[in-house]
Amino acid sequence: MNLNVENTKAQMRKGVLEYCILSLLSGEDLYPGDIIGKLKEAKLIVVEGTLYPLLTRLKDAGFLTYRWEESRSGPPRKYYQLTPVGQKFLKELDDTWDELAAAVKKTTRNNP
Amino acid sequence: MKKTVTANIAGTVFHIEEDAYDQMQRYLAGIRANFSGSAGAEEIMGDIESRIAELFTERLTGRNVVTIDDVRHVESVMGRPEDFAGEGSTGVPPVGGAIPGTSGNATGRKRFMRDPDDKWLGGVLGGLGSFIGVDPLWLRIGMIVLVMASVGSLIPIYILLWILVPKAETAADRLMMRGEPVTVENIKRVVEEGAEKFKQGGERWAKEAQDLGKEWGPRAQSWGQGASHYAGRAASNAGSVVRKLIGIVLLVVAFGLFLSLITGLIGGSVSLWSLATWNSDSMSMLDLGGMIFNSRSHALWLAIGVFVLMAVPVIALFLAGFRLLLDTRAPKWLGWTLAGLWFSALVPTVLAGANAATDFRRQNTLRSEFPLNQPMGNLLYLDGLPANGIKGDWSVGFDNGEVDVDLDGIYVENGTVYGGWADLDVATSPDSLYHLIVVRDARAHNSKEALARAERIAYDCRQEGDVLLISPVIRFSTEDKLRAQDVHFTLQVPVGGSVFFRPGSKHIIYDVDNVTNTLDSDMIGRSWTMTLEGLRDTRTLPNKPDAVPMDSTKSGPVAVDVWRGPKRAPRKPASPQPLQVVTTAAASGVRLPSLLNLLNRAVAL
Repeated sequence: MNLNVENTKAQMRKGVLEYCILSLLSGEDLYPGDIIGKLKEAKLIVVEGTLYPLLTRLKDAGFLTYRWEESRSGPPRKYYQLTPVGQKFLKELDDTWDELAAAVKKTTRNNP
Repeated sequence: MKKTVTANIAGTVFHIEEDAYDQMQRYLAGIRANFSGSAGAEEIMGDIESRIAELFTERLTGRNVVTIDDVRHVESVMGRPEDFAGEGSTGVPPVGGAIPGTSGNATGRKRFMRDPDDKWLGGVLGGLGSFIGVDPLWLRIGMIVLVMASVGSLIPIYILLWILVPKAETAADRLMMRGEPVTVENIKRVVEEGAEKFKQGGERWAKEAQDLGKEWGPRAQSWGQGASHYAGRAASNAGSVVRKLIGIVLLVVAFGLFLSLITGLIGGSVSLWSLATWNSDSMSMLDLGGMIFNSRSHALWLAIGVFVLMAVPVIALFLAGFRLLLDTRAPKWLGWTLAGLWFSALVPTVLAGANAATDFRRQNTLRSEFPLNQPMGNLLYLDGLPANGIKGDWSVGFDNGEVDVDLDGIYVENGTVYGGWADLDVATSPDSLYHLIVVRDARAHNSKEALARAERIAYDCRQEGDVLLISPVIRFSTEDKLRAQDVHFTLQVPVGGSVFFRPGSKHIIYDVDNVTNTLDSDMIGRSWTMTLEGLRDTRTLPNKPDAVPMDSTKSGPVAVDVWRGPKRAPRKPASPQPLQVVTTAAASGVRLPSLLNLLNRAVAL
């Protein structure tokens, strides 16, 4: 059963991860290292590897673009930023999240 | 002291210790295997390598060389390869189906895939070898033998498999091909086996194995899970065994049909072709077909059409069999193409067939009498004419040691068809005279045309004194096509009259009725007298001892001179000369009408 609990947790995280990434990027342009730092801080991800496929997917979906920036401490970095489409999508996600949070709250409170 | 390797990671050069380098390489290969086939795999790999370069740079403050600890640090930060696809993507599995990582582990279900590392042509046999656990070398030897034995008919099947069976392109694919679970250990091994290897001694291997044990110990659990998973699947496997059995049966049937189709095609054309050849000149199948059907192109279309109509279902059987047995799926285009091919072959085949069939619809018969001069002494000698108009040798075969001339055939030259189809029977004359009745048959789309066709059949027949010579060969124009043209001669012999069958007549007489039921070949070289009951061997007639010279005292000039016993009679010129032929006694073989002749007769019925 342990496996299923882990699986469920992973699934839940997976659902909100995209939303969180888009939210982080709505304030400022970030490179993966920054994003990972913040997500780790929030304990949303444990390992970094999971982020890269996600970023690529969001970029391919047209929600994100990136620009290269030189770095003094290593290879050039990809700084991601939201596209207008991404912003719109984020707005929708915000609304959905509020509804969902309210619904979950209501449901879980009502259940003894 | 340790050896270092220089590596370029995302544009930055690192000096990496050799063991660290190996570890790094396996790690990257493991990650790559998880993304193989998904869109943007290269980009993701690039990003990951950038991040790794960054992590190395961060850790290398004051140091120059990347050690195995650095690599382990990177692995702990980035996560295990299984995590990459597991958490990051929303259920998009890497190509191949088995998703390693989150839920259980990919069990060692084998897939039939082409092996690009072990191939002569398409890697089909290499993959099959992995699939069934046999050294591909044996399969290849067997294949070569079978290809030669089956006159290359296995080659299309090979090509079909080449199309159907996917290639094992990534390390994960290759593991699936071998039936090993897609786990880090295995990917590592595959990479090691395949990619550039650093030669290391057994000692190093042992050390590495220890390292592995420490690092990936938890993974051993997944092996256990895999095993229980397997057990759970055993039940559902019962159904798949039945599927596979059916698949095998389908394949065997398909292969049998396929072989018979090929041999039928080759054998049929060879036998018909050789039948159609009387001498060094040959007639193509197309010429022959053009005379059976309304034109050469009709014949060609019909032949192609019939072949396609038969071949397509056979291919479909193969596809079904392979699908059940090996779980290969035919590309969609293949199915549509086959269906399209079949239906497009149906129409011209039916049309060409119907077109020809209408021209066979009506038969008509033309009866005429060939005027005969009545023979002296009530004895008519029957002889065959050499196949008139046919140049070169007749096909000659040996039958019981005797040279036999096979005239059941067809030969075409200068717009004329020559067919060895005429035959002769003997009947009782309605009066006291000998008559030769000639009946010519042909078919056409209507009776009138059939009659005209029959009339255009030419036959060769002449009388020289008391000898009646008839050719077994009939002639007609190729314009008339093959429309069951046939000529039957009936020699009407008056009661009391006799007929002597010279050796040359053996190709013309067919199933001559007689009271002793003697076979045609045994009637040759003897005199037969018409009685009220029917034909009877003259020797057996009590009251006509001298009717025919049977005492071996006479021998014609054309007689085959054979040793006949101690007494050798002197030759006397005689007229008429019966042929005393001893060799005919050996000719006991029943004359078998050829395929074409049978066909012709069957149509005439």
